[in-house]
Amino acid sequence: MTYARYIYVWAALLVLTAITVTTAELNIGRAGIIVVLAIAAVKSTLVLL
Amino acid sequence: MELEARDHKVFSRVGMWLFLLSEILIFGGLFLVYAMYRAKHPADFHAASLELSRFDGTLNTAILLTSSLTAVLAIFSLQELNKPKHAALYLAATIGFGFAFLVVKAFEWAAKFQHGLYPRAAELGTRPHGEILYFGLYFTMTGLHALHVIIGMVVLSVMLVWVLGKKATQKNSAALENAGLYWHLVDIIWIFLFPLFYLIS
Repeated sequence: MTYARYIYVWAALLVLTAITVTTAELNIGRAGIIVVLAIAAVKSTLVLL
Repeated sequence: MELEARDHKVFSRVGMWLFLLSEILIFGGLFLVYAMYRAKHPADFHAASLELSRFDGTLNTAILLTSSLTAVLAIFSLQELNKPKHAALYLAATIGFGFAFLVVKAFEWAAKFQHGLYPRAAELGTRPHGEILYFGLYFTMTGLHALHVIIGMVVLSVMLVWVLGKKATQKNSAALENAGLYWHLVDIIWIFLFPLFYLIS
């Protein structure tokens, strides 16, 4: 196990944050909240890895 | 019967997870209240969310995610590499990021107060019912979260002193590990608060 693994997870989390914000900007209505919360759930899992 | 060190470690970890679950229950109740009111006033929640700065929210998300990285690197440095000095530096960085988060949050709250958007303010009283509920929930939930950030910073500061004072070592790192778990919880709660308050389309 090395530092690298944690850096990857951190980078993935930042990318997911960017996707979340972009999704919200698109104003795709009701589906938006589902996408945003699904990403939040994935992010929480990554934090715990 | 003698308890071995390994058992103590398991007990402390189970205890920590029970505590974290109780924390999730506290916020879970608030998330339910939020869901009910948002379902009732979707347009008001959207209008109110536009008052928040998406930039500040995104910035704070990045700050907390990075602080979780430095927290895990502190644990890794002590447990796997046995480098207490590195661990102490990472802990100090984590505390610094926590402080940066609070500074951004303080600016955001101050802006809301300036615009009269706080519970029981005259200006907010003229707004639709859903917006009043939104800001009530906003201050309650981000306030409770900020309190957790402050507590986390205090806990991490104690860990910093312990690492420097050789009270937390490679062989005795359960407390540091639990402190890290607590900090991750603080991060995860924000990961949910951010889209729920800043990104309502």
